[in-house]
Amino acid sequence: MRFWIRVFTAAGLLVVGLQVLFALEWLPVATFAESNLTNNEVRLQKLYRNRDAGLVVLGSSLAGRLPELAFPEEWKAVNLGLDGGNPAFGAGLLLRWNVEPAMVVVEGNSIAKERSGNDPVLEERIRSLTFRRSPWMAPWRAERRPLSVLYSWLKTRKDEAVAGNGETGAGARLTAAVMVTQPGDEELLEGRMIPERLQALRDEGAEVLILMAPDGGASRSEEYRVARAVSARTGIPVLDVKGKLDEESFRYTDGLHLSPPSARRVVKLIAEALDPHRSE
Amino acid sequence: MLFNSWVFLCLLLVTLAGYYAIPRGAWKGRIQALLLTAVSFFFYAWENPPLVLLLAVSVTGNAGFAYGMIHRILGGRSPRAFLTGGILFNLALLGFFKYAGLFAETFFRGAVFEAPRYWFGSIPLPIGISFYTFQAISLLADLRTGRKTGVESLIRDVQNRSFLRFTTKVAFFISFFPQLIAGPIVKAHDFICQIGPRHPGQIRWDSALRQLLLGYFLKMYVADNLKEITSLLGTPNMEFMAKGDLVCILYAYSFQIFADFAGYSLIALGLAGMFGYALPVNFHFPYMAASVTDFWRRWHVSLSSWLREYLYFPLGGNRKGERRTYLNLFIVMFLGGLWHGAAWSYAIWGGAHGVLLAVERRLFRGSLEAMPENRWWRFLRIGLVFHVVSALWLLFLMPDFAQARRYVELLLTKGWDIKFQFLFVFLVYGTPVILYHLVYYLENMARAAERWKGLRQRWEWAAYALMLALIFTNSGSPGRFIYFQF
Repeated sequence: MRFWIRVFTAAGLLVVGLQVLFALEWLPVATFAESNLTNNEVRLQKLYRNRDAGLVVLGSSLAGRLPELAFPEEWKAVNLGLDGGNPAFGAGLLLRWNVEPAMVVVEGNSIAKERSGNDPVLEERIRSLTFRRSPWMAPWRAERRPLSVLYSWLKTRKDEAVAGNGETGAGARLTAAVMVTQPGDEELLEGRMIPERLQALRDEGAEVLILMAPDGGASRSEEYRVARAVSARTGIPVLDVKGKLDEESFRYTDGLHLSPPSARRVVKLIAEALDPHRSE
Repeated sequence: MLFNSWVFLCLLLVTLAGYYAIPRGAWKGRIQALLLTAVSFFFYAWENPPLVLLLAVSVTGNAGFAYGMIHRILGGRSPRAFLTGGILFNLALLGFFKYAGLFAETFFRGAVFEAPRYWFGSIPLPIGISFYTFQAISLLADLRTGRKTGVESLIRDVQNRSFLRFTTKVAFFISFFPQLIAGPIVKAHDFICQIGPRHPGQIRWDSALRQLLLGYFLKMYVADNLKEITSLLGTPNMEFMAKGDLVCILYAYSFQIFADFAGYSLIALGLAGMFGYALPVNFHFPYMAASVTDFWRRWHVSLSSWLREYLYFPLGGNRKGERRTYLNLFIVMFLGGLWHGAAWSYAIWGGAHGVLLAVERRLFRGSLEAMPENRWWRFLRIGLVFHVVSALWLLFLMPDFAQARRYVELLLTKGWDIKFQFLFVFLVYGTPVILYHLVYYLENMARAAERWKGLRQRWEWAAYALMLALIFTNSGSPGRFIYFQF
């Protein structure tokens, strides 16, 4: 009996102690996780808890690298760039959860993907008791998983070390979003959920922007066509960082995903596009 | 129903309360057995309610054949007809539900057979069928060999015309929920003799709780987290992986399948222990095996024991000359591999182990054990066996031959690199498996084993506390046990 009293007491102290460290911010919560599913859970739970977010980023792991803290603090940015994800899924969640952000940034690099293999798994996680209770049961939050915290810390250090702290060398500054004037291919939008969902977000008062993010020079011809078609139908502007600036002037951790300094640079460009009067 | 689900926890608590609330009396044991049988059927029906009819058919059919055998034995006549019929009945169930699709794919080729191929391929695979049909065969075989210990109570029940008691015992033995879905495969003579009334004071709660905690840790913390990277192996993902990624994931799977299956077995032992029943230990530190022969004395012990007793020995075992022994080893392991799944890759996996067993016997019989005990030589052998076993797990991880072949091609052609994410997951979540085996080594093979044992006993509570905390805060996403698919 004494054995089990020790076990449960020690386990309880460990769990409570961890939560105290998180609450005092002596231990940072995880911004990345060691598995794609947990990574996505961290982001989904964060949005679920912060339904008064002022800016939401939708997309895949590409947009997922845009640091929330690099956005102006008063915007209360939440990044829903999901590993293996797509903006249609994220937009659907915003509508379902009645999240009405003032600004929505949609990753154009994955706009052509309407469904991912991950989507049913994520839906199941969202329905789970653990997820629904996570706003109140802090120990159950994915961002507080001890090994995810460790992974996030190690990965952030590694990415910063690889990329260095210097400027990306991105030259021309985009001072205004590119408004698409020529009509896109309407047929491309048949059966797609993304135009209606983005239009619904606009109707709720959100300022929506489609971002073509630098991704190491990957070919995105279909995505560009879909982005232009959505823009033509809905009037949503396209911020074409990928096309307008030299992609080699950005740094990547793996040839595809932006390094932390480059990601911060892109966030700055987004902020300027959304609020041109914003001073540095 | 997963063992690591809220629904199961509620069911367990309610069942425990009801089980021990039954007042003492002549009928207590029978009511307890009936209660557990009913709960077991409910447990089985949760996944797919119509398939509980199959379990009922299996129980009824086997009870009928067992009754027929005992009736013949008591009448001084041969029970062979009922034994043969019973075994064929079980094999027919297994063959139809599990292997019909494979049979159709293999032998009904061509467009003209498309309809039957589709129909056979659509037959659902009832969860746990491989396990409970083997247990049922064990019951019939034990009755035939006239084992007086273990199954004699069944013979008495038939003699006394206690049909309810007889049928309850058979149903309970076949359907007992801790081992129903994924083992351990229990032999009738080990279980039937245990059936009887239980009181809370008789239960070894400490042992049961330790098994449960360790089992849940291996499953929820180790296996469920490792699967987040092993599930990525397949087309098209592996086309983008480097050599290091491919190797890392294969060894991660080696740890995952151990943690998943051993975890399940420990949970089954713990659950059964809470109701007062002892199930056989299924894993005995398998990655400390210094030979393939030794590996099969440590991995899925209940299956290898069943195969040895009910297949290898009836085939002649090692009593009909060396060549026949090698053939018997191959046949047993080939069929044992096929038991795991309706795909030729599993049969090849089993056959490969059979060949290794035969080769070991041919080249090293007796000499391995006769070698002087040298720590480094032993480490070398342990490492070699681990790598060979892990390489063969590829056929489990990728039952599709085309994918397995592509994996090998990529392994040979890709450059050496490894993703930080994969390395982290493998090292962090694989370490408990290494530590688990290391503890065994330190307490059994190392110098100052007694000192290590004392150390472990002093600090065991801290290890269990850490495991409990990690289960609570760092479990992977719930996933089915790997062996559910068998």
